[in-house]
Amino acid sequence: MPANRDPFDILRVHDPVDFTTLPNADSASAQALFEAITNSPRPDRSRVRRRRRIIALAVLAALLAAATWVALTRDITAVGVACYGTTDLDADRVGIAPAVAPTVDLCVAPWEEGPLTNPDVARGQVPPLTGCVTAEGILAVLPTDDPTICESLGLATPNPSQQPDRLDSIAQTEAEIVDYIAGEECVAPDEAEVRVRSILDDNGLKDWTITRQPTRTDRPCTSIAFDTAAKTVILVPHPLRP
Amino acid sequence: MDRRSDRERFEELYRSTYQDVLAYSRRRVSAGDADDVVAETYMVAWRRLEDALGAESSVAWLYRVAYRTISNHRRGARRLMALRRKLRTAPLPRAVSTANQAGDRDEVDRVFDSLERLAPRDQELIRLAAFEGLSHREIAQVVGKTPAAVRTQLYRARARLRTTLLETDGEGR
Repeated sequence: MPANRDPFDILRVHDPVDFTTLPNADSASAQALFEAITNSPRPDRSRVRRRRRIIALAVLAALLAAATWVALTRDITAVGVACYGTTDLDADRVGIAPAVAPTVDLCVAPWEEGPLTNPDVARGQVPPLTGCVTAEGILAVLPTDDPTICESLGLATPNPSQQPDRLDSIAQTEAEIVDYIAGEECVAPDEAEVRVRSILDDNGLKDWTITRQPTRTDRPCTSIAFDTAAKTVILVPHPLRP
Repeated sequence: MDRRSDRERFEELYRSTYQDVLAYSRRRVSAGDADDVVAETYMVAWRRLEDALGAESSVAWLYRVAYRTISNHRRGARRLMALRRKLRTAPLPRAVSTANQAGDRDEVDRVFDSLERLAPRDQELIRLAAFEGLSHREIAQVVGKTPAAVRTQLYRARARLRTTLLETDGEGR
């Protein structure tokens, strides 16, 4: 294989899935799934759309009511999402109270399914979306890829360290480190430091540091503490488990 | 006006796309999880049959649903973290071996290692282009970007793949 071959070209000819052994739509499992799905009732789309609009309006009203409290906290972390039809803050919008962390992607469905429209965007298509944070802590998602839009509307650009994906990534990394330590009978501090550094790096947290509390002979193992605000993992001496 | 029943229209969609959607899922999650992703994807398609059939590309529409199903699991709330760890750590299939020489096999493995070290978004763009063979326009439909943005981001993702492979090769020496 030539040394300078583009890895993308290598991938194109090495599909990880072998279609000759892949079940097709006539397989027993595929047929069972088909029957299960088609035996379930289909929703009345007009009722669904109407109900979704009503819910969206109700949620937006709740978000606006909550805004006063949020403003008092002066916390810029987004607490809800408002999807705008244009880059005008007075434009029609759909409010969403996400069950999970608020993200720009939550506004894809309102574009695809029609509550949001814009004369410059074909119906059902999703324009480029950019998130800004209002003073009330709402993630305002605007149909543009203009990187200066937040500033020009007097809104804040979401702080990367407060981004939901980033927060989620931190929580996941912490869980991974805890799993590692808990899964071993006794991890020596040197070994723990190397492995924790590796987990942090693999999860994109290269700016995090590791600090070690002074070692003690009666505590040869390692326990873990996190100081998320200081982006630090603390290695704490721990006795051997009985 | 299509006078066929919903079931007939869905069956045509299902039969023409089932293997593609299953393959899409198996390239990204373990075989067991892939079955769940396929089931959820077609359940959404059944509920939103008009949207699925009216899309510019029905298979790209289905990939988008599958993509969001997997992404939601991965990105979701803390209660889904266990599932995501499972998704991340499950052994994914590597390329079917067509190489005759051990050297080729090693290089393919290194390329897959490099791919898995990229950010999830880069991985998805590269997989959609390399394995699903989608155009920029179809990829845009899957990931919810414009074709122009996809073109730029895919170009950068491919550059990052090359850089990561070079780093991997450097580490291996």
